[in-house]
Amino acid sequence: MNSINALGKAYRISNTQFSHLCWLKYFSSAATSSSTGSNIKIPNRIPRGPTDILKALEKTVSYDFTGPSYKFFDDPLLAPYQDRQARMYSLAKSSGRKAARWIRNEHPELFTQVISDPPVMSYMPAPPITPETVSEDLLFQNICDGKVSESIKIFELMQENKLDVAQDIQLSLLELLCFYNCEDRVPMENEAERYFAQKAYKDTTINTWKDHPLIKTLFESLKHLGSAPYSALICGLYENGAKPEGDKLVEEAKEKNITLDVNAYNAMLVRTISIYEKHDLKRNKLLDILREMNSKGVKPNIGTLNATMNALSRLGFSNKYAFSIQLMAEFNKQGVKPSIGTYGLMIRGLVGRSSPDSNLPVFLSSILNSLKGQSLEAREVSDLLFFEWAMKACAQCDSLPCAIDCLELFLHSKNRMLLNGLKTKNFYNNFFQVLSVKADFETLVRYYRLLCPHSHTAGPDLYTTLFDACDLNAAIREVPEFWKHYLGTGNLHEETILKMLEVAVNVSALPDPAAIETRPVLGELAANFLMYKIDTESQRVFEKVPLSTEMINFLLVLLARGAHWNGVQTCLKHMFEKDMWPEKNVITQLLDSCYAHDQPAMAVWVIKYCHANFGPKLEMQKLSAKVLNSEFLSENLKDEVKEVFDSDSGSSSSDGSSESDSDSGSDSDDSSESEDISVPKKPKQAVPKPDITKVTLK
Amino acid sequence: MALNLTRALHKNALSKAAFNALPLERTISTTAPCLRISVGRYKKLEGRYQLLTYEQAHKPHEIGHWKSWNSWNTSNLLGGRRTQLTAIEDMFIRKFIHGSFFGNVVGGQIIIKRQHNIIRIAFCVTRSTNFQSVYFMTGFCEEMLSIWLHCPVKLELQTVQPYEGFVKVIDAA
Repeated sequence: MNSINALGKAYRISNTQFSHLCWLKYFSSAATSSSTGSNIKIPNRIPRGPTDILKALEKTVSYDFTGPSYKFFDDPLLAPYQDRQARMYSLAKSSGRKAARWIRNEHPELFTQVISDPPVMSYMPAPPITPETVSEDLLFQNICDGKVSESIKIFELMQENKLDVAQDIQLSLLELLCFYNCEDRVPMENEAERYFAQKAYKDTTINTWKDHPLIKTLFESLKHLGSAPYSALICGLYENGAKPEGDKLVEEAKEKNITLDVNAYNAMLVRTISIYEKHDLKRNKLLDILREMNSKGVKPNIGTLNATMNALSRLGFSNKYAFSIQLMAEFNKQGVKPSIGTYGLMIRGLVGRSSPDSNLPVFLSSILNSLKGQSLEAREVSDLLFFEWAMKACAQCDSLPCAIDCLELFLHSKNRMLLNGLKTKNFYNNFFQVLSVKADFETLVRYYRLLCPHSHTAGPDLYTTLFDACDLNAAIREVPEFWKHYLGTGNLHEETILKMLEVAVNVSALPDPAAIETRPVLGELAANFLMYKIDTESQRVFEKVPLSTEMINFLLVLLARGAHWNGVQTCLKHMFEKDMWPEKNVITQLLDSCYAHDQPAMAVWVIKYCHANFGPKLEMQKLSAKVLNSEFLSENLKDEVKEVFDSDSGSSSSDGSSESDSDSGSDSDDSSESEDISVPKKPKQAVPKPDITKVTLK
Repeated sequence: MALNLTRALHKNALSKAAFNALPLERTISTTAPCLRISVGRYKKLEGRYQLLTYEQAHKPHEIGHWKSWNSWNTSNLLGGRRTQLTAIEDMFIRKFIHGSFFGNVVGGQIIIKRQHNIIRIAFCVTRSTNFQSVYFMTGFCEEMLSIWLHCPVKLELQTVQPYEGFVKVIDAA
C-alpha cells in the first residue's frame, strides 16, 4: 500500500513538474511570438493539380540498376536478362494489348456497359460513323484525337449529306492531313516498338507525299485565307520529301505576297540542307531565309534555331564554331533560348565527318558543366539527339571526365527518358569505349557493375577489353562474374570466348589463395559451358561458334584444376568423337592435377583413354613417366598401366584382333577397381587401330 | 419440443395414412444434426488419396487467421459502396483469367486486390508455358479487363512447378 502511495506521489510530482515545464515553454513561446508577431508571413497558396501528390511520390522512387525494369514480372524465370529478351517480352505484352483493342474495335457490341462516372472514353469503343451520326462536333473531336482515316470518312459523308463545315474546322482538317500525310499514325507507346521503328530510317530524300484529292479540294477552297493553308501544305510537302512541289508553293506565296508562319519557315530552313548546291551558297540561302523572316516580322521560335543549327551542322566551312556561337547569341537577343537539342546539333557540327573541330573539347566540357545536376526536358524534337551526340563527341575526343559527366547527367532524375532503344545502346557503347581506352581498371569495373547487365547489355568487344584488363591486373574474382555475364548476353564471338578461356586459365594458375578459391567455380562454369555447347552442336546443323581444339584444351585445363572429373571425361570423349587432339602440356597438367587432388584412379583412366585414342601423337608413355615414378599410384594401378603400354608395344607387331581383346580386358579390370569415379565401361569401342598403324608408318 | 412435434406429426400421419408414417418421421430434423458443418472440409475417401490446394487445405473458419482472403476490397465494410457489383466483377475476373490462362493457373486461387482505382490480380502459372506467350496473355488480359471494368488492371504472376500448387495430402481411408 505504501509503495502504491509512494508511486502516486512520485507521479504527481512528475506531473506537476511536467505541467510547469509546459507552462514555461508556452509562456516563453507566447512571449517570443508576441515580440516577433509582425514578422510572420503566411505563404501564398500554391495551386496543386490532381496528380501532384503522385508526382511527388514518384520522385522518391529512383531507377533500379540492380534488376530488370519494373514492367517485367519479378520472377526469376519471367525476368529478362538481356536487352534482346527484354525487347521481345515487351513487344509480346504490347501485342497482347493491341489484340484486345482490336477485339474491342471489331465487336463494339460486347463493350456497351459504362460503369465509370464520368465515362472514360479511351476504354470505350469508338462511336460508329454513319450518315446519320456525322456532325461537325464529331469531326472536330476526331481531328483533336488525331484520327486521320475517321476524319476523312466523316468529312466525305458530310459532303454527301450536303452538311456545311465551318472554315476553321476545314483548316484544322487540312493541317491534320498535311501533318500525318493522310495516313493513320502508328502508335509507338512501347520503347521496344520505337527501337524497331527507328531502324526503318525515314529517308527524307524520297518523295513519300500522298497526293490525296481531299487535300487539293480543301486547299483550293481555303486558299483565300492566305497564310495558314499555305503554311500547312508547305510543311507537309517538305516534311514528306515533295521538294519541287513545296518550292513551287513557296514561290506562289511570294508572288501573292503572303506572309507564311514560322513553321513553314522552319521547314524551308530544313529544306536548304538538300539543295544541290555548294556549301557557301547553301549557307547564303539559309541566311536569306532568316533575313526574310526578320523583314516580314515573323518571330522565330526554338524550332527555327534548331532547324538553322541542323542545316549548319551539315555544312562544312571554316570558323563554323564562331559562326554558330554568333548565331546563337543573335537568337538569344530575339528571346529564343537554346535547348539541349541546339547544343546537340552544334556538337554534331563540330564532330564533323573527318576530324573533330579543335573547339569541341572546350565546348563539350563547358556545356556539360553548365547542365550538371539539372533535370532536362524535351522542348523540341532534336532535343532527343543531345545525349547521343554528346557521348559520341566524348568518344571522338577520348575525354574521360566529359564522358563521366555526360553519364551522370544522363542518369540524373528522368533525363534518361530523352534517349530510347538503339540510341541508349549506342550511348553506353560509346561510354565504355572511352572507359576502355582511358580509365583505370577500378573505374571501368565500377561503371560496368553499375550499368551491366541490367541497364545495358554489353557487346563482345567490351568483354574482350574486360578480360584483358583482368589478366593485366590479376583480378581473379572478377573473371567468373564476367564469364557469367558474357555468356548471359548470348552474343558469342570466337575471339572473345578464346580470350575469356585464356584469361581464366592464366588467372587460375596464379599462386594466390583467391585463385585457389575460384578454381572450382571456374571448373563448374567450364563444365556448364561444355555441356551447353555439346547440346547445341548436337541439336543444330550449323553452329555459329563451334568448339574448337584450342577452346576445348583450355576447358580441359579448367576442368582439371576445378577437379570436375565428370567434365574431364565428357571433354575427352567429345574430343575423340570430333577428331580433336589434346595438347601434351594439357595432359601433363591434367595428370598433375590428378596428383594434386589425390585421384589415382582418374589418372589411370586418363592415361589409358588417351593412350588408346590419342596415343601415337601424345606419346603417353613419356607423359605418364612422372606419375609412374612417383608413389602416387598403388602397385596394382602401376602394373595395370604398365600392362597397357607393354601389351600395346607387344601387339604392334601382331594383328589388330588380339589388341582389341587385350584392350577390352584391361578396361573391365579398370572399371571394377576404380568404383569411386564413374569410369565408363567401354571407352574404347571405336578405336581406329588400322588408322593409327597407318599414321605411325607415315 | 422437437420430440413433441414429431410425436404429434406421427399421430397425425398415422391417422391420415398409416402406410407412409415411417418416412414422414424422418423428414423433420431436429437442431442437433443441423449444427454439423461439412462445407470446406475434405474427408478421407475410400481407395484413393486427395491432393488439396492451399485454398482447400484451410477450413473456412481459419480464413483470416491462417490464410488471408482472396478478394481484398472495401465494399463489404460498413457503408461500403457497390457490394454486389464488386462480387460479380470478381467472379467474372476469375472466370476470365481461368479461361485465358487455360490449364496454366496453379493452385486454383486468384487474388484480387482493389487499391484506389487499380485492380491487382495475382496468381501462379506453370513453368511449362512459353514466357513470351505469358507476356502476350498478360497484355491481353490487362487490356480486356480494363476495357470492361473501366479502370487500370495489373497482373502479378509467379511461376511455379505444377506440383507446387498442392500443399496437403489426404490419405485413402
